[in-house]
Amino acid sequence: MTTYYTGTVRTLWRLFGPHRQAFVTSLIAQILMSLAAAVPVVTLVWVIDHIRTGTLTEERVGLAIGLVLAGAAGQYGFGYLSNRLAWTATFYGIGEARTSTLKHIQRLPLGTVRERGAGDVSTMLTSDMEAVSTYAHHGLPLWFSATSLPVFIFAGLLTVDVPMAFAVAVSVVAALPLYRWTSRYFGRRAAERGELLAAANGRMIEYVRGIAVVRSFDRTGASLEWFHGALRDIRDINDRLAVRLVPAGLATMGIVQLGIPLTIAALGYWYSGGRLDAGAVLIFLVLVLRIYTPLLQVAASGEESRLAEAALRRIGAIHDLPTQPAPTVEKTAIGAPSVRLDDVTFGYDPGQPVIKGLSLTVPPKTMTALVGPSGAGKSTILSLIARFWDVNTGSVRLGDADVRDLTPEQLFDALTVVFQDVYLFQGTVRENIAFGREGATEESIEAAARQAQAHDFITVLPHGYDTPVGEGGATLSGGERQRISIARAILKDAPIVLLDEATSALDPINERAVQQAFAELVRNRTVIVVAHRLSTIRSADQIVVVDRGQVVERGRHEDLLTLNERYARLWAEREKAGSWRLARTSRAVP
Amino acid sequence: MSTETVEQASPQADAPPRAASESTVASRVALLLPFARDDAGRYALAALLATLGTLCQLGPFYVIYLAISALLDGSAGGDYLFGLAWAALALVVGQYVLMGLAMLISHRAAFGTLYRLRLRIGERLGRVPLGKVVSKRSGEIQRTLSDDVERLELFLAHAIPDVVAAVVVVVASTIWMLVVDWRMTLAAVAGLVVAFALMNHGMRASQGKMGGYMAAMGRMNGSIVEMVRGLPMVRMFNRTDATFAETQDAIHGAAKYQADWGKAFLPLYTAFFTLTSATAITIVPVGLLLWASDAIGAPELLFFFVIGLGYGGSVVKLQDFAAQLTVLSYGAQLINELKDAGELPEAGHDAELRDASVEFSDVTFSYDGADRDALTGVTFHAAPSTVTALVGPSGAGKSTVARLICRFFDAREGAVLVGGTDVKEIPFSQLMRHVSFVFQETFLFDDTVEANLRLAKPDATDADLEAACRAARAHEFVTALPDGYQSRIGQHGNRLSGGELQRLAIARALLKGTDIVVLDEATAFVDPENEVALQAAIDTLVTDRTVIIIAHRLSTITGADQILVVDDGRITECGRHEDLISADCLYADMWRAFQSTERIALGEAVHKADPTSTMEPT
Repeated sequence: MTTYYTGTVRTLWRLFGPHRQAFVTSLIAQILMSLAAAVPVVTLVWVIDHIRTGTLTEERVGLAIGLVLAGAAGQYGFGYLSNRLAWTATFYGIGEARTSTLKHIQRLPLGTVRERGAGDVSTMLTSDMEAVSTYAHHGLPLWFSATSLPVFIFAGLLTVDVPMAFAVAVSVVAALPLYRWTSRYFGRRAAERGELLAAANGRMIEYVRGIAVVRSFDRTGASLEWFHGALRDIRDINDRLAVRLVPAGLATMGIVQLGIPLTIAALGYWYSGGRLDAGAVLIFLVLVLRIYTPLLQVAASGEESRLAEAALRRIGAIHDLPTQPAPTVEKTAIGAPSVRLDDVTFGYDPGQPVIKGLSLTVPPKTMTALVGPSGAGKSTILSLIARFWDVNTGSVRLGDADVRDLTPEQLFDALTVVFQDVYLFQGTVRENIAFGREGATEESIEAAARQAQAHDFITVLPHGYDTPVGEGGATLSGGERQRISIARAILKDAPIVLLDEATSALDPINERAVQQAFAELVRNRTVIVVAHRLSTIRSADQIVVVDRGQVVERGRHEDLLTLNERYARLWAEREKAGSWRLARTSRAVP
Repeated sequence: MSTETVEQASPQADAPPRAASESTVASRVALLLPFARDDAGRYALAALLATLGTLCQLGPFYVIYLAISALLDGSAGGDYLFGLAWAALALVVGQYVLMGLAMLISHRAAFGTLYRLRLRIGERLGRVPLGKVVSKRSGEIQRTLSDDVERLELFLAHAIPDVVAAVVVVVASTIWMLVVDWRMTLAAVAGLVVAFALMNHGMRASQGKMGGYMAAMGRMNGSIVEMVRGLPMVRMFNRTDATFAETQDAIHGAAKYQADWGKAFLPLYTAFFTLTSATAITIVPVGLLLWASDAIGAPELLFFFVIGLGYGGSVVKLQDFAAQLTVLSYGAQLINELKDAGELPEAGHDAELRDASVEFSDVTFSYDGADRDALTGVTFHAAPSTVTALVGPSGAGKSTVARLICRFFDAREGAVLVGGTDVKEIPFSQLMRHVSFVFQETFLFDDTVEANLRLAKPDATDADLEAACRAARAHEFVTALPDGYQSRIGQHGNRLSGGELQRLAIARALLKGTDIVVLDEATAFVDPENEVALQAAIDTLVTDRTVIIIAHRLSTITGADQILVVDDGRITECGRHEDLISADCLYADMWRAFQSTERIALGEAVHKADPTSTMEPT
């Protein structure tokens, strides 16, 4: 597998696509800005030297003022140009990167996205991209300007006196290995700290989530070692890190600054030895401060660089996920809407199959109920049929077509999945239902809503069908949201329906409405349902008992009861649970 | 119900409110400074050391000035320069040692302050009305406790030493420069004044665009989050292209807004950085003109050429700090709200409880910010050792009744009585010795099974734990875990199902052994083995206790001593199952709905429009 992340700068280069050129131009402008910034500095040396020799004439004063102002103007001009190019290129480039990453995410198996968690993926697209942006339009240009001015001045010093110039450079060269080491050490320690802190922070936050329970046992604050210990851990982890990193960070900068006494001493040595004249000494004295001060800023860009690197690694990890292969066969017709699994093996981790050599045939317009203990693989079977994942071996066929030979459009034209967790978009009730079919008419939307037992409650909403459902649809009850999602599925009108029956309870009236809606949805279709309700199971054309990824029994309700094996036991348990009545308390006992 | 506790992720959650961004620098600092009182001595020491360190930083400039002066009047020799080199060495070493000490002291003090602050917030959360913590704001509180408190470190560990040092250095070097030559000092300061005026203007001008900027970013973030969350839906309904186009548009819109904002802001921003980094712009021309007219001597001119040029750095530090203040002071506000949040009024001494009864007397209650009452005039009496069931549509107020008994909130009007005493007169810890609750969202800590159980009774023996788990039908699956009672819950391989977690929560309640139990029976259809065990566990829990149960499956509570029908915040019906059926109101409707639901056979519905279809043998 090729990895997308190949170093911070190279990955940025790839992400920026068409905005690369502007970005490179901006960095060149950044260097020119440093060059312009060097002009006043050099002018100053020139002025001081003329003061020393008493040759600072009025024309020279005029020239010096002109040069300083011109240098500043150049610094402003190139600085503006550079920033403008860098900012624009970064903002559009990051936009580009977001778009291309989203495009990649769209081609991933749906299972991968669900497994990663929508929150994680969104954070990568928002916050991580923002960290990359900060580095690209701030940290990276800063690094260029912070290093290029010293380089120019060093080059100038070389022309004055080579040994002395090297004396100036000694402290920088000496600090370099320490800088590299501390950078790496920083990175490593920060990563370690990150993990430890995340754990302690998690505990601290869990305290808030569990405060009701904690209080019910009268164990708040310091009396709960679990919480108190987390706070102490956070303090101690940070303490230890500070003790290590503060000296390491300051030592690097300190070593660079030691160049000042070293330079003065070297000047004294060579000046008294007569190898340097006063003019040369002056040049070094004035410029030595200009070399070291900007270099201290490199440390500032280092922090942004580390954050960007971590973000780019996470972005790269998403790009490294394999996409779902597109069909190689042209337009396969599905034919009659049957579903067939042939000797299917599948595991989320290749070494640990959760479905083992499973075969299953669902004839058109019949209902198959999948039952079995939790973790048996029932939901995984639905995921494989909808191609959220691809099988490891064997095949899944809809009608005459292997699902891998269908385009996503063909696949989902034939198939509707009703998830347990209902997802409604921000928008109105109407828009949410209309999402089911492109170009749906008013009448068909309302008809679908009626069939889904949703029309009545929709019409009493403040704005009827035009009522917004809010983010995640929070203003509606669970049963109402379910019915809207069923209306959407009814409108879509696909011949095959995959249904994951909800395990959470609704109030009885909502529950009935949802069941009636389901009854409308499945009418005259091929249905595979992960079933929990007695009524659903009992009435299925075929009941498949799944355990540890394999089919252990199959048949109709009566047949399986007669068999008196797994299903019969399951059924007995289910009936027992269904007829449970809360035991009367022993009030009568004295 | 669960929708009330769902926390909505808002892309703009981090945006400070307008009020905070308009307050003055002084008022923001005043908000932050009290946090340093916690360890004032160490912070003062850190500031002092940092000031000395920063003064050392000016030293090399002075040394170089001396060297240049000596060079100009021809007095410089090798020995003199060596002497200056030693001085510079001492100053550089002094600077970094002092700075290092200052940073170490301020960091350690800051981590200590944060630790005590969090502990205090933790303690306070244990005493504020529970509802304030478990409602929607739970996520906000988590963020404040973790992120906002963490951010104070920037102020305590970095800003205090840095800013104090920068102020001292700016003041000291300004005075020094004034002593040398006031006109040149004006020139040096003028450039910076102009720079700050420009920056201020730029900030103000861009503030107007801030709203639009936040909106564009918010739209983009929202669109991305929605696109990713809705991806299964989008793909299933073959709407990939349309939805993608919309998100792409939002991304492009945000990029364009950022770029436009940058274009407007950059001219001033660049001017600021040019003026502060190139103080030569004012110093060199003014100095040379004064020199040309003999108004200033060479040594003074030189002084400004060397010292005056190093002046900008400290000032920029102050600007950086001012820029951080908005976020910091907003966080400080949130922290203050939390650490000084009003406590639930607590009775000082234990109250007399007559018996294990629960009573509502004309209770009216509304949630903060809600425009209508959640409960209106609710009255009922649950006698000791009886079962009271709450039923009704979702959102009708069943959970609110349960929460008021546990004193998550206090009634606005009327009274909730336990054992004949108003719960407001009962210390919370005493109340909790009498009331257990097992709610829908079972909460177990990411810790061992044993630690979770001992929460209820720290001095419980191993035999106690096992007995409780056996009674809650949890012993069997706990011992099947790799480390038995020492297994960490939630860790890889120890993933427990919802039913199992609930049985552990019941075991914990059994260990606590209260005489009143408030229960939310919400798990229909966990897998059947689990469900039967869970029901058995509940049976044990309710024996001989006063039980208030929120029931979802009506068959469960047909034997209850009384059933309360809650509809729209009121109790509309009350009685035993048979009574309510014959009353033929909402309960009877619900009962009919409950019964008929089991008659809806999906398998038959499949064939409704096509009765000829037959099952082929497989």
